[in-house]
Amino acid sequence: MNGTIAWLFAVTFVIGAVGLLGLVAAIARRQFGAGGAHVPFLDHEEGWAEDPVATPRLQRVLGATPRSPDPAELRDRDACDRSSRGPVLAFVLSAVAWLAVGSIFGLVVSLKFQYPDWLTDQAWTTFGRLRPLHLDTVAYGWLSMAGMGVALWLLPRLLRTPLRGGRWATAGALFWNIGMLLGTGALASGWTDGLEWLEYPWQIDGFFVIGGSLAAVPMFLTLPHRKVDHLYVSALYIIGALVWFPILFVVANIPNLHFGVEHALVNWWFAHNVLGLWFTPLGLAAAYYLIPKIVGRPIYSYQLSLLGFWSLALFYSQVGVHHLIGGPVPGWVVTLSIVTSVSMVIPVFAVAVNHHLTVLGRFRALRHSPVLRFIVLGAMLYTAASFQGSMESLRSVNTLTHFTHYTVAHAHLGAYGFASIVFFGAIYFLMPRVTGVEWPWRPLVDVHFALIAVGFFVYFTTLTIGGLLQGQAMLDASRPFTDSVSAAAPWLWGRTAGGLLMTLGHLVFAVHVGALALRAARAPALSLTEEMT
Amino acid sequence: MSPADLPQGREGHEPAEAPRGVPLVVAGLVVVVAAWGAYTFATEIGPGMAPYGDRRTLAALQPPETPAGGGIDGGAVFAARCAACHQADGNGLPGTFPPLAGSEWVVGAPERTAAIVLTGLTGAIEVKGTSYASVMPTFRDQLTDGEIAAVLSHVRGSFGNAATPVPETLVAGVRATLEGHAPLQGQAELVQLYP
Amino acid sequence: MSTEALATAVGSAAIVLFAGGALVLAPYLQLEHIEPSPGLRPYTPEEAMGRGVYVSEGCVYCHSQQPRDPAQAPDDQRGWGRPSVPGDYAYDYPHQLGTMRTGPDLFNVGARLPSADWHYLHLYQPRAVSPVSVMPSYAYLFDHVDTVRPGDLVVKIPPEVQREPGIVVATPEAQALVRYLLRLDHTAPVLTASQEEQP
Repeated sequence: MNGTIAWLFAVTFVIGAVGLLGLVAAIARRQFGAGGAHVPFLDHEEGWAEDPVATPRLQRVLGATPRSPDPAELRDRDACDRSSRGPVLAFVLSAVAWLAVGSIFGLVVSLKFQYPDWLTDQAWTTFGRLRPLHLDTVAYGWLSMAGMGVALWLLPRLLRTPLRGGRWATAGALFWNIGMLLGTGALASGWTDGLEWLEYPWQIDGFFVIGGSLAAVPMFLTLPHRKVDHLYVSALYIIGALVWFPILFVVANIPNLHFGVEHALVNWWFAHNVLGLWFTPLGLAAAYYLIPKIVGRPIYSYQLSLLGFWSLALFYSQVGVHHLIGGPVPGWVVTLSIVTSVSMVIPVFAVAVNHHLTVLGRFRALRHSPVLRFIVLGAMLYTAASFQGSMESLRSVNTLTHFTHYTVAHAHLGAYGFASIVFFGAIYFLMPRVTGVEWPWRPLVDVHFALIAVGFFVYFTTLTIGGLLQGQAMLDASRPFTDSVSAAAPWLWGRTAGGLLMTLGHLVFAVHVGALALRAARAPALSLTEEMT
Repeated sequence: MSPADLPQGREGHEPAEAPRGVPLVVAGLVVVVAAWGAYTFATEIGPGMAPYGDRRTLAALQPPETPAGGGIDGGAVFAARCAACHQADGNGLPGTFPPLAGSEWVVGAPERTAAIVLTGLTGAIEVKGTSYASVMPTFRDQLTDGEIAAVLSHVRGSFGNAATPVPETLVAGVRATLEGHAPLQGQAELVQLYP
Repeated sequence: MSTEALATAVGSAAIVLFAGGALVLAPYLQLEHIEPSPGLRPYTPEEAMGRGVYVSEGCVYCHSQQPRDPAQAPDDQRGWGRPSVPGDYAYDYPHQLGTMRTGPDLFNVGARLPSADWHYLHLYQPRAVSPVSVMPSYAYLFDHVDTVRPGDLVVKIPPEVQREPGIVVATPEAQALVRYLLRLDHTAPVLTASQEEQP
């Protein structure tokens, strides 16, 4: 039976992988073949650059010529941003608040490796409670809400029509926040489903299901009204994400259906897909939109975008079981996940080529555009995290890195280095647009960037080294197990130091966002549409 | 307010994608990965132990073959089974877990220590002038005669102790004598059994 | 909704369902009728309560329960036991396989460390028995009392690590947790000596 499975998978895999190329060619021929390619700014490639917190030199170094905006396009764009204002603010402001809370949880957790007897008088302040609180607060409070906020802002712009049914999404943010509050309380009190990434009790998960579904309503209401001939790649990623996450979340949270090691399989299928099919597509949607927007150039290749999207869907959805390499689960499932993990080099390479060749030749803009700095750094770390992930899934590498801090560092490279940093950039770009208020203190953006960039560099490198030393000690049976603890210990100070800088950066960010929101609340922004009518 | 003052007014066109096609190097990568993947499936998944878990081997799931005497590392058994309580340096924990280093019981009659490991011990035992009352668990089912002989020999020859090694046959003899015996009730019963 | 958007939505859903079929449904059908491993019995109520404490205190974030095969890693030489198999987890819900070994694997801790006294002291103050340990103290699972009542389980804690004055008594939660830990013993062989590889 196992032999049959092998050939079944081998054939399916080859057809899937190579079929992708055919699919891409076919779609592209339909888009461009009839001679009616709709690519608005190909004619004037050196377009206008924009970054709300850039220095005035940005335009000059990019050689852009000042121009006055096309009134019709400007009116449309303003109408789009006004239509998404409510839900975007609801999601983004909540996300930033959860980021601040989640960072503090993370910092305390890290400090516990240095001071294990600190805060152990009460159950809720111990490592085993705060560790899942950190993960779930940043994953579902910060990343998910930021991703949905950015997606809701992008949708009307991508479809060139105001968002329909934005209030459904605003209500969704409310439900999601209630779920977060209840879930946080539950975990603090020790009430948990007991699975990593799925800790929130299933009795509370309903709030997330309702909240997430409501957030997706405007997408389905707005799509039929779209005023563009073809969907820009960011729209594909947003559609994918909003379809994938509900399926995954519901299947993985059904109580009393799963059992024994099958429970572990569904656990890790879900957990890796939260990154792969939820944070990643939302982050890529933002990067794909903002890179060409800021550098004023079209994305390098439409066909590559398509290849990147569909191969991500095909491969990323099957990588989760690489978390169980060497575990008590059927060997063929592990092999399947290893092969698809390695195959992730295809979408990652496609996206990397597409992003970096778009910026190529305009890297000078990084000096003058803080937003671009966030987005490009995030895009680069996406490439790095993904290649690292493919490597880590190889059995030889995994034997060393599994069960160590190396994996923790890797998880942060993906969820923080890529997704969070891209969302920072996106939020800096969108907030002045949905509120009509400029950022109060532009230098704070540079302070934020410096703190998190240096902090994350320290965090990642020290934790990676500590993890490798830990793994090395653990694999050498002639050394006592405690050697693996003491080998990593000094490097965990680096994690705490880096985490402290990152947390400070987040507080700076949160204060800045709060100040902008206050100004917007005090002086309701003038709208172009009102002005013109 | 003039349109150009709005943030939206400073923006260029909405992003688009150029119809540049898939670079050959990317297409080549797809083909290479597809070939590697097919090869990996075909070689890794096959007859074998897959239902028992990833990379399981037959021998690891069968009863361990009893290694011939002398082939067992007593130090490894000590690290895995004994060091948690008696500590890696054999000094125990004052007042809680008795020391093995310099213990009169360890270097004394090997039947006594073999009996303690085999049946466990509850109740008081005086070691180096201090009385201990913790419970020593039984290792009757966890360790073979060979392993017990190896670990006793290790303990008798480490931490400054310099007593002779314990033969496996001696452990087997004590095991036969104390078959089904309840945990020893303190040092009194121990001394009574092996005066 | 346009065909392109519809195709994207439907195609995306189909792909993720296919993945779920491969990674979850197919193993579900393969494992559904798996027998508990030889010698494995269901949890007693007290052990189940202890497992609940293990889950709600988040032990899984530092301790795995899945020894690897000796061909891959020397887990067996650390006393962590034979490689685990699906039948070992027949009564485990939620699963606690874990992905981190800040501390050692616990799947056979009951066989490796059978002393209840050790577990109580270690839970109360891990650094009393293992100085480099970074495990939290679970002293809050113990009571400090002046007089011992009948039925109290007094645990011996060296005075220098005691958190509060008084006699240290294990709460029912601590007792259940230790019962669960001592029950973690999956050392019985899965196959007989003569058994051969599955075809």
